[in-house]
Amino acid sequence: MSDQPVIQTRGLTRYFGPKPAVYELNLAVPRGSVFAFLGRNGSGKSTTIRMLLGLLAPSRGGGTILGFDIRRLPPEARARIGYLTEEHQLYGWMNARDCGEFQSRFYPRWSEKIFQGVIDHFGLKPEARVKDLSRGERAGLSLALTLAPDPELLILDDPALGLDPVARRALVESMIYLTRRSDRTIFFSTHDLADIERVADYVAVLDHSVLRACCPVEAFRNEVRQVRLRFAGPPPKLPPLPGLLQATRTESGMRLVFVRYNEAIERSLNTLGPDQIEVSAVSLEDALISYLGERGEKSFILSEAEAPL
Amino acid sequence: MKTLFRKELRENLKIAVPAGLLLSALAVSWGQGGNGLVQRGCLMSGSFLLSSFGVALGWFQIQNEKPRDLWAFLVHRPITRTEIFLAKIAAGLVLYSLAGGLPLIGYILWVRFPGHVAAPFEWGMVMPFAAVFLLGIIWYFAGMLTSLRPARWYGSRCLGLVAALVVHVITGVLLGLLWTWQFHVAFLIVAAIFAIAIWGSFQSDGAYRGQPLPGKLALSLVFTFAGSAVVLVGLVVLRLLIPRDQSWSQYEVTTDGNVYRVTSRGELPPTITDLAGTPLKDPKTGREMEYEEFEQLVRRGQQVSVEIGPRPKLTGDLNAPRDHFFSRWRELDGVIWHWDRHGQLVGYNMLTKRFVGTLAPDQPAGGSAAPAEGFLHPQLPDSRALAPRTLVTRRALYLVDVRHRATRVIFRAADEDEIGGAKDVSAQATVVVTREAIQMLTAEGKPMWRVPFEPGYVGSKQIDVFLLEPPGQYALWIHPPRLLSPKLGGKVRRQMLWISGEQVVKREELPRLDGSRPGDDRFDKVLSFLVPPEFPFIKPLLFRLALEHVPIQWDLVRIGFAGGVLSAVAGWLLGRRYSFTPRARVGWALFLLFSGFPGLLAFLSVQEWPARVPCPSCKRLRVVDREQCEHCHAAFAPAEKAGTELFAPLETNAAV
Repeated sequence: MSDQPVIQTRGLTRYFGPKPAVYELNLAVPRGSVFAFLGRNGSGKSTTIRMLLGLLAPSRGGGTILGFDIRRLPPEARARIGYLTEEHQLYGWMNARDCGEFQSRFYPRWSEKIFQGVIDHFGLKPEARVKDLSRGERAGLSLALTLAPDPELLILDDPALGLDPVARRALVESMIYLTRRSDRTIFFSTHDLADIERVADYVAVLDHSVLRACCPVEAFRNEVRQVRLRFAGPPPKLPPLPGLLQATRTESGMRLVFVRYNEAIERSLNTLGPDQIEVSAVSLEDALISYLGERGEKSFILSEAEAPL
Repeated sequence: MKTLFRKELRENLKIAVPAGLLLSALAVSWGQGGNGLVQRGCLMSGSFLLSSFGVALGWFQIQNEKPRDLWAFLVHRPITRTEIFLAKIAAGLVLYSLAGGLPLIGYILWVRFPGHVAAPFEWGMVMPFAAVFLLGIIWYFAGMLTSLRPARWYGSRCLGLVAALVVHVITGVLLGLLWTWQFHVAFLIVAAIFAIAIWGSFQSDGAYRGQPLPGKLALSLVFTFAGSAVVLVGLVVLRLLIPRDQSWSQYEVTTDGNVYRVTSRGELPPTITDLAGTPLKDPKTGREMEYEEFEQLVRRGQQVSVEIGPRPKLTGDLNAPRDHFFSRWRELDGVIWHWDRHGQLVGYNMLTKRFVGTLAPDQPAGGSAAPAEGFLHPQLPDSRALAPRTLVTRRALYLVDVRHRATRVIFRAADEDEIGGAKDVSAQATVVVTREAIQMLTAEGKPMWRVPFEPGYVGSKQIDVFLLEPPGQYALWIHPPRLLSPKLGGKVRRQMLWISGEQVVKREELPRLDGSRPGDDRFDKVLSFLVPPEFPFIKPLLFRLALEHVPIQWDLVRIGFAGGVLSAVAGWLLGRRYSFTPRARVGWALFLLFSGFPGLLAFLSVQEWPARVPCPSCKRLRVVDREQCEHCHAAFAPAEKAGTELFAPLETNAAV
């Protein structure tokens, strides 16, 4: 098996008008990994995925997917890539069986067993028309159509968007446990942070069109730390602190979240004269929320906190 | 590809089936009339429905999958974009052919078999319908192209439809020429250009950037064609909106044979003057005569068309294809007699609509073989009350007795002479124009008068005959030949002859009327500046189609060339501003040099103009789609660090 990344981008950039939707993205996705791609709404996740699949031309930069240039993906590359869109749009006039038959004609490695398995998992009737399906059922059908060709690379663009918790759990379970294989790479964007801890090996975070983090999930969790400061009176104003993600004030304390917390930061905090400094780990979900939220002193919470209590 | 083809067929049945039913209903309604294959009304209604169907089919074939994720579902198939394009086009054309073609074929067969239409049929008559069918395909492509183009600017998106509309308008104007194979070839070329433009757009999801060169070129051509129409329509609208002098003048002949010039200037009432310029007075009041009153005195001339020598193929009414194939001559005793293009009369029982027989020169009724020398296209009398009696060949005038199915020569041209046209101008008189003379004959073919052509008027295409008061007085207008050499152009004027009894009593050349309105020259100049520079060369060719000689106007050529150069310069500067490659810049400049402002419009419409942002190095604006600044060659700056970056080596590859 090749050690080359399944997805690799170099300076991938896309502008919509004068505003960059994705800016100078350099990304490498290891083969066989489950790779979570995160970011807030409008951060550029879908744009990146669409560029990776040759559905949107980059303004500049480029990349490869399965070793093929993303600007000219040949049919043989597409046959190896499963793509699940966020809206799960399918032909409304077809029924589930028609969809399966339609899709199967394009893929020589089509597995009726997988298709039927996922369909059954979602309790879908083969004769049910797509236009009559609920969003969750459509998601299930889309997933079945994406998985049955037995793709080498699975790209999922926020597949659980808009689903209720039960449907979402069903989708994620199908997506991961039915398909996880050592030689299969799964690249997915999501808003549901709970999924990541369960399934992802790696996480990358886009913030305002720029890639700010890319590392193993475990490393991400280890690098984000929560610091609680207690003061005798109202907390003083914070100096500029490297790696500060969030700051929340209380009447006599502060809760700070840092990335790459270290001794230098602790020395800076000590200059504030706290009565107590307590450093602790945070859950991955909290770490991601802190990371994805507004940063440092510019954060809404911090602005609130700086006002007289 | 087969799967996609079948999916497209099934998906678009909802458009094809209603369209097929509508067309079938229309074809049934045509069945109530005559031979609709060559009737303007049937062709126009058919073309409207086929075009609407075509554009709807093309539009919805893309719109069905236009939602972003559904489009992604479609194009992320392990097949090429060309295969997707071919599957869609093939399915679309099959549906169009079935829904649009079957009703037409049904109607053609209905007309073809005897007993349905009391008119001649020949397979050549199918050609105009075939052209209308092809026209619908061009609309189909236009609908698809419009649907495929990104909606960044709706004006540019619709240029494909504008181009199809232009083709449609040209077809409507030149309906009478649709039986020629050249038109079908032209249709196929236009359809091919559209198809290449769509194929190119499929490669790049409708965008210009990323298309292969043939696609780019075809798209630019389609948009330039549409741009020309936009410019032309804009100018015409502007011309209508700007007040101008609406003056015109014309000659009128009164019943006593006097000629007057009627001149209208703007909103003022028309003035009537004699050839010396003296206003015509009302004898009762002594005041200048009003036009309404003058009209009571006017005698209209009966126009005789003349065609001597080899006949050009493109004659007759450009609007009516029927004119080419057959023409209704007269009805008598329940039989309708048509002149057909083989030069014979063909009779049909009006009740049973079945063939009765033919009548040809020097041939008894009932013969089926086409005559060696046929009747010329009949010129029916101006008055509907007057039944036509005669028909001519190049050699002789025939009295035609359809009741007894017989023809009789009543006049024969001299050996070296040739008949160019004839018309029954009254119940007792027929005017015959030959190469050498104009003559009026009695119903029995006896000469009433004969006027030889003067040099300079030989080859005249039109003679107007006025029957004056008291009877036995006549006047003639001999129009100068239209295809005069440029040297003679303007020197030969309309000649007027007055005839009394058998003698020409007066002969006069009428002063040339100023046909061009003030402002026409200016309009021509502005038009030449704004349309492609080739237009001043094409204009004489178009006029030649109508058998008129218009010389190449070199001042307009210069103006057109200036427009082309200006467009090329504008294109070059825009290319430089947006950092085009030198090859693209030269290519566009050359294209704009030959396509002028319409090309510039196309250029502005097809390009996805990249944003320009300040270069952090040189501070000048640079395009965002180049790796390096076009001014200082600096690369784009990496994203500003936030201090919270978190990168760690991945299992097989470090994040870069």
